[in-house]
Amino acid sequence: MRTPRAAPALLLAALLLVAASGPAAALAAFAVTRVELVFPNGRGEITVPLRYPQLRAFGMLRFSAVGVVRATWKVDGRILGPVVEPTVFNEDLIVATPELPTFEPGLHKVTLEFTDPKPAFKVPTITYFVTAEDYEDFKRRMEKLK
Amino acid sequence: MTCLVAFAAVECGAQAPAAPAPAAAAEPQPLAVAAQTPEPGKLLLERRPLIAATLADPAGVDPKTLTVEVDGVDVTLLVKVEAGRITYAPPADLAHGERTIKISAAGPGGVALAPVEWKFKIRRFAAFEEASLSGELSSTFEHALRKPKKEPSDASGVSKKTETPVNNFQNNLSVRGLLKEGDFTARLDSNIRYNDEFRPRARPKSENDKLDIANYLIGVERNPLLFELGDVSIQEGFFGAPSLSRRGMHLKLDEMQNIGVSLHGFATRYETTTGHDPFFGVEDGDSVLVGGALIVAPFQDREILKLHALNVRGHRFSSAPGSNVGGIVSGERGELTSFGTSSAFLGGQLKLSTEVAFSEFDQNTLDDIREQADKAYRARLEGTQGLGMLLEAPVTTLAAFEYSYVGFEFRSPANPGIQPDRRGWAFKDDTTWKIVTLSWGYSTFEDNTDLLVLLPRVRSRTWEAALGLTPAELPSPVFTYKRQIQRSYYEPETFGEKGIDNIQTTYDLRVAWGLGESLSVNWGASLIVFDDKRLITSTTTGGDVYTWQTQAGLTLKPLKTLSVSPNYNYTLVDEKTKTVVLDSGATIHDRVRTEAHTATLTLVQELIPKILNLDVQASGASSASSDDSVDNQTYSGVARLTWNVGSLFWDYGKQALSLRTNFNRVVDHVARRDTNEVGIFLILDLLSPYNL
Repeated sequence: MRTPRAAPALLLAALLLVAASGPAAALAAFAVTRVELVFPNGRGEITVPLRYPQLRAFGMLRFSAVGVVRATWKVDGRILGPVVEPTVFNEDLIVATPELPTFEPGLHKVTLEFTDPKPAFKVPTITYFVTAEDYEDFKRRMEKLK
Repeated sequence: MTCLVAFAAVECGAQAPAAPAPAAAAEPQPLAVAAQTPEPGKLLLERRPLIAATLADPAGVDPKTLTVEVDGVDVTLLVKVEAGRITYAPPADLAHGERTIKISAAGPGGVALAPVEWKFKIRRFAAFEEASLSGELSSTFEHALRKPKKEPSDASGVSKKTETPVNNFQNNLSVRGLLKEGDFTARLDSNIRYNDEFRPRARPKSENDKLDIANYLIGVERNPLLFELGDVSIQEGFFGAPSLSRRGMHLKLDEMQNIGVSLHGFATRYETTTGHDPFFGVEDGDSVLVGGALIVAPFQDREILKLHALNVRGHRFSSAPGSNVGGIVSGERGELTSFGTSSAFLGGQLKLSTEVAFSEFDQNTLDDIREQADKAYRARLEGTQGLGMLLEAPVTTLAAFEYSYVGFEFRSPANPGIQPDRRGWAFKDDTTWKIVTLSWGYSTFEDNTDLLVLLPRVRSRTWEAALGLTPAELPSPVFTYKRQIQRSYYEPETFGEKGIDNIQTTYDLRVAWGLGESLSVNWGASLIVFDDKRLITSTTTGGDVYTWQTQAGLTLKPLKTLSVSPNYNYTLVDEKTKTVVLDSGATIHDRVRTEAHTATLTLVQELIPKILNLDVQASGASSASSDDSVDNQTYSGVARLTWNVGSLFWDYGKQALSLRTNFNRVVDHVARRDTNEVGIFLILDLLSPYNL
């Protein structure tokens, strides 16, 4: 059942379209409204063997206006690569990292640091764990298990 | 006629084997055996079963050429042959699992017969045909020889928690298990991480959760049932749950091929992508999703029509910013029911799918506002068609059309990515001929279609075309053109004339060239023209923006043990009428150019293959703008020298010693700050396998 247009409905529109302030100010402003970072398993964490090739993270980004997003992929605080992409109003922009480094066993943190526009919320940080087992040994072990 | 014969002598004058036909000369006649023991495919508990076979045509076999192999090991010397029966009693226990027996022989004329081979299995446990459990404990202990930052003073207000720890202990236990008996299979796949950090002074140990994450998937399957518990992946519908990877459980009954029915029930919760969550259970603070789906295929050809019904209920379907999703619509309670169809015709060349969904949600269950309800629907048609032959090569096209509508108050508790208050359609086509691929598409969407008068209604249209060539052993170029038009067809007064109108045009060229395994090169350049249609006044910010970008990278392997991958990116943002604040405090419009350079380098060198490795990853970035609002440089890098010592320290698993240095420098000329950090770490990596 549809309810009359009232304050809650307005608030929802604001939640969708607004980065920081009210709706009238926000629609024209180029702002990021949603950021989701995932690994190929669809989750915010993954465990891979040492020197695992072609590991990437993906970002699903949404914006409240048209513009060119500029951001930097970072791993453990180091720059991994830039993102310079045109966006479309209210549509997801999907960006991918270059190949993530997997030569260091242990936990690593991946995030996307925005230069423009600056998000009004904390951008997620996702983690991947590199084990000490070499990828070639891991492959052989998995084949044996099968 | 079949005679049983001893290998030593033919006793009953059996018929001589017929002369092989000319055609059969290429394919030898098979060695005929009967009464194999154990029977082919048999499951046994006995570790030393009697292996036997009876020759069906002993006269056609030269006994001197007989060989028997068990798993490729020749055991002929231990074989007994009596009255045409071959027997072999293993002198030691055979290994668990599948065993292969092979008997080879030649005919009296020396013509080899095709060997006979069969398999049987030896169980590990009485209850299960197969059972295994294996684990790998990977541990890293890191000691900072030189920390990259000075410890903040107690009065500084800077948390010591943010500092690099003196010692860092990180562990990952991976456990995999399998139980199999006939149609029944149970699997376990899990990872448990334990991290511990040691810091000096006020906080000797980290207050972070030490058990970083525990993820697992337990799957139990007995056709047609599948039950999974743990980190499941659920895909049901588009508005419902197109791709959910969350902690939970689901049960599937798949009788699609037999009676055309499939059932799926699931219960999941959020907050599992980060943080400590070793158990399954519904807790108050978590977002919970419970649902079920029914798929029915009424026709014998199951692909012609599948009917799909889904119902999901969500509780607190939000995810806090900073968890894994920043900034989404949230709700206290929600429900979604959807009905859909999917059809495939002409052997899958034409596909049609439809879905209509109804949602109810309540953002705050404690207030007086009732549940909001709305609907969404979607239809998608796609097809593949051959367009004929051109220069003796086929031309094929793959086209897809999709229409969707999402109501203003539509919220899917299972899919936070759905954009409400939106309708429109999209068309895309990919045509391929020889090395050429031409893609083009058009889409138009309208947002804020509801009667909310405070927001403008937006119509965005996108034209896109891409032409790609993939010639063998030559550079592969792809040129992309994209034109996005955004216009409002209703504007509140506060937005002014053409308040949100603009056109964005993108020209992009990418070239990739692989020169064998030793060299690959890629280069790309793009121009993005943002044409702001607004009337720029002294009180307005914005205006036209041109963004130029070029990127080049290569991967070079000059030696088998050395790999070097440099990459460079240059971006120039040219803002034609940017609002600039002068030193005097006055605000003017001026043309501002911002340049950014980013370079990265990855180097992998096996100094002594498999024993000593050097890995380097370095990056640098520089940004500067003509209005002096931005002027900074960042340099960072890591270099790691790893000595794989095998089982040097103790005779179990593998160990490695590493020396790592981190470098980070940030120079900000605007903020007048220069931070320079160098850290050196000694690392011990341990790998400990546990196999049962």
